[in-house]
Amino acid sequence: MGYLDLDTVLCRRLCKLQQTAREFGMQVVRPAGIKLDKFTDPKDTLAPGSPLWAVFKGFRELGLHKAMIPKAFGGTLGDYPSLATPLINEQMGYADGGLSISLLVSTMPFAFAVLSPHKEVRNWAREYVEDKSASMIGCWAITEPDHGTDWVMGTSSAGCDPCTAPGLTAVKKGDEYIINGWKSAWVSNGTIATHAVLHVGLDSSRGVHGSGIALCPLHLPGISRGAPLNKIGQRPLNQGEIIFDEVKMPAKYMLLAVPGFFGANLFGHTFLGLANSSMGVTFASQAQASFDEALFFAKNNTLNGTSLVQRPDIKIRLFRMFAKVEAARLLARKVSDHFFGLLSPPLVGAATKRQITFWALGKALNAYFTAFDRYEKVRQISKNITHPDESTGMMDWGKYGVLSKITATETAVEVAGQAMQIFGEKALSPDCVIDKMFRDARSSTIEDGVNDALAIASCEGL
Amino acid sequence: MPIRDIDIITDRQSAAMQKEVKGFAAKLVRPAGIELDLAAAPEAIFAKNSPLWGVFAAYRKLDLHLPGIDEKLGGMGQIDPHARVLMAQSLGHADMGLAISLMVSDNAFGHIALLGDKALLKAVGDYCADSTSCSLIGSLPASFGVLPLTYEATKGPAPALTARPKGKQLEISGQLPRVFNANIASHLITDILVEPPDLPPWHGLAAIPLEIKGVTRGNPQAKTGQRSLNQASLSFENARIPAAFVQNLANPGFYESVERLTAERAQFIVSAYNGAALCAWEEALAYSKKRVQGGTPIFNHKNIRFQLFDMFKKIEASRSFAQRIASYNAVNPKSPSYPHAAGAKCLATETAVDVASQAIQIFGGYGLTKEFPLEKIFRDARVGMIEHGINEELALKAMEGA
Ligand SMILES: Cc1cc2nc3c(=O)[nH]c(=O)nc-3n(C[C@H](O)[C@H](O)[C@H](O)COP(=O)(O)OP(=O)(O)OC[C@H]3O[C@@H](n4cnc5c(N)ncnc54)[C@H](O)[C@@H]3O)c2cc1C
Repeated sequence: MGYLDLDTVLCRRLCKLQQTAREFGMQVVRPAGIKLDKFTDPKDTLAPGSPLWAVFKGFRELGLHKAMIPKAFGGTLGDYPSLATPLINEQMGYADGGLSISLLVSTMPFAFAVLSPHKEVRNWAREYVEDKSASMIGCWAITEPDHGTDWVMGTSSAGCDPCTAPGLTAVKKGDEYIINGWKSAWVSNGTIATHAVLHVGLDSSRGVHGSGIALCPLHLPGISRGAPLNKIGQRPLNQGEIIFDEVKMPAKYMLLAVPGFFGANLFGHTFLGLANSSMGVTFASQAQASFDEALFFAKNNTLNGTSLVQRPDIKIRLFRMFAKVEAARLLARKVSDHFFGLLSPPLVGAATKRQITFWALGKALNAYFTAFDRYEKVRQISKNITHPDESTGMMDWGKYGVLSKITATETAVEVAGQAMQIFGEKALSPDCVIDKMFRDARSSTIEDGVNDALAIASCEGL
Repeated sequence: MPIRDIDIITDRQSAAMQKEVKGFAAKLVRPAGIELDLAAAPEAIFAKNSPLWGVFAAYRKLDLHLPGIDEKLGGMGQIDPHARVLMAQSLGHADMGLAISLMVSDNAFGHIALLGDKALLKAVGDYCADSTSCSLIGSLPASFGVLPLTYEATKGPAPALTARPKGKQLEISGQLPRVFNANIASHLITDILVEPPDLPPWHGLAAIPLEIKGVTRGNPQAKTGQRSLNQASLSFENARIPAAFVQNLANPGFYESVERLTAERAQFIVSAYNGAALCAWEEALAYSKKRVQGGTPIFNHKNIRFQLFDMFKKIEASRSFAQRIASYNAVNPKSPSYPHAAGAKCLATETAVDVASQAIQIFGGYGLTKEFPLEKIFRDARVGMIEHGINEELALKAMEGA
């Protein structure tokens, strides 16, 4: 078995990081995922001795959770080359698709926190970096029971339709926002998260585009959780509803208070594309894991007296699987590297300086958002545009994330399915690793946006 | 444009029967399948309070175990072949695992009737009459798929069981993996290698009552799909049966009758998977009219309609293939076409997986949860591409001698 790393630029530090992540992935994450998959009641995955916690703690012990936090906050973003995050995600995805996503979204609120104008919030990033006990866990709360794809479409011009407006709303009252509404059972880390990147409706007349983004601590009074979701695949990934009932959130936790911005291609779609690009990396590697299992099996098993790997029909199947996996992997790594490269320059520049730079950056972004929003409104009035976001015409990077996600997840499903056929009857047992990989892959074409919906929303950017 | 039912059943009685099956499947089989799928332990399938028993009893009360078995033995003889296809489809529509479980039992007793021994014929008569206790249930090894045994006998691996003559009895040894209905059955039909001391060994078909000494039933297997279908290994250690319970598969008259039952089994399997595909499609259609996104039921989005049509087209192609084979087999019961059977099986199982997968996409996240039926239909369908002959292996076998 052998893969060439076609990225010849991997420096020694990155190789070492990759090695650390690989060992942790195969020694801790893979076996934990297999155990967690078997719990019939997802509640049991959260019990104190559950292998889930060993995964969270081990990840932090090794400092792998720091990759998306800038150096100024104690993280390694800007310290390592931009390929660091994709390389870690690759290894986690190879070990377990669901847990990889759990670890990934866990960082999100803290990665965003650095842009807050408020010191308290910015400090979360540092606290997160230092938190080895996994007492801080993040989630990305966007999907609602009545609005799933609406959010995806919201990153295109279709999202200005008032009928897509989020059910979860934040209304400003003095120094607080009053939050009411539900985030759906699909929110990854939903029942275990302590902090959320929370998408809230601010102006329902503008549909999804009228939404803002809060960084919300989830201990606030009035917040409750549903039971962990029971599902076909990625069972180790905790998911569950978050319910907001008259929650008084201090205004300082609102990161993006300007409605009208989320939907614009520049931000909303790039934001989605960024998440999608990491999905791409995770599931391209998950496809690779399925392929490796199939190859190993074919080399070590016979059917009716013939070694599987000696049969020309099986050789074709194996080679085509290899081809698909490598194509998806290279694409996903490239796109993710590109995204982190885009993120890095301003952050890298600031990385060695003090946190104050991020305060300025956050301010500048918000000022830019506000100006853009005003400009759009004026433009609409002057051009008599009734459909507010008919043309955005911004440079759209998001579509590359979507491209990577669609390719990788569909490859993961296909390759795992083909691997099952090579395993034959053995694949029908729930103890067979390929059965789990197939189920995990199956969820990924819906996760982070239904693939077709992502394609529809991204077509605008072509 | 309303979607018409273009199936044609000419025989009235068969049509009435098909209607009954549909009702029974929806009311009893489907909920039982869901309950057994969620049960944590595979033992739950045959626990005293398992819904399986209600399904078996109701199935037999409706006489659904009788078609195909000779009238003289208490069966119903042949009925409208197209109706039989639709009946299998209705059962698969409700639950793939239970559909296979019911079919395996009937198919096994069909074979028992062929063996001709008096004691066995009596068992078949009892089977036909057994509609309350359901103490008579047949089982088959997983190798009894859509291709004929006689084929396996000459080209495949040797049977897992061997029999040595001991006076008027045969002593059986060996182990069968993954036998359908292994823990619930009273009788097993299997192929066997008979090894007389001085003569060359021959390939036979044996009926083995499972209560005899020397039979050990393995633990019921945990499964990823079709969890309502009981499977376990059966081990035999010097288990004795009368020599008359085994017949040589090479015997011309006998061979042809076994072929008819193989064809029936293939037809059932194919139709049941078509039913599963149809069920996924109906669920997706109904859901698309309820689920609102973008301010309108998603049925109104063109991409969803396109998907629904694509699924519809595939299902109808697979169902037509099944009916075409049924027509042929009805006229040529003694010489079924196996490349066709293999082709229909591959098409039906792949269609079921594709369609269930497309249906999950239409459901979005909800398609993946245990609260909606689709993830189960998908897992159940996925088993089919491997069970009853791995599709790729069937393809290779079907082309041998073409
Ligand atoms: C494993 C997993 C992890 C997830 N993690 C998170 C998370 O961390 N945070 C979070 O917020 N969410 C998460 N999600 C939710 C995920 O983003 C949603 O499930 C997804 O966006 C689809 O929404 P839905 O399930 O409501 O489907 P629906 O929106 O109901 O879609 C149903 C079908 O209708 C189609 N459709 C809907 N609207 C349109 C339209 N306007 N035009 C054309 N077609 C349309 C869709 O393509 C789809 O086929 C996760 C999901 C999964 C499966």
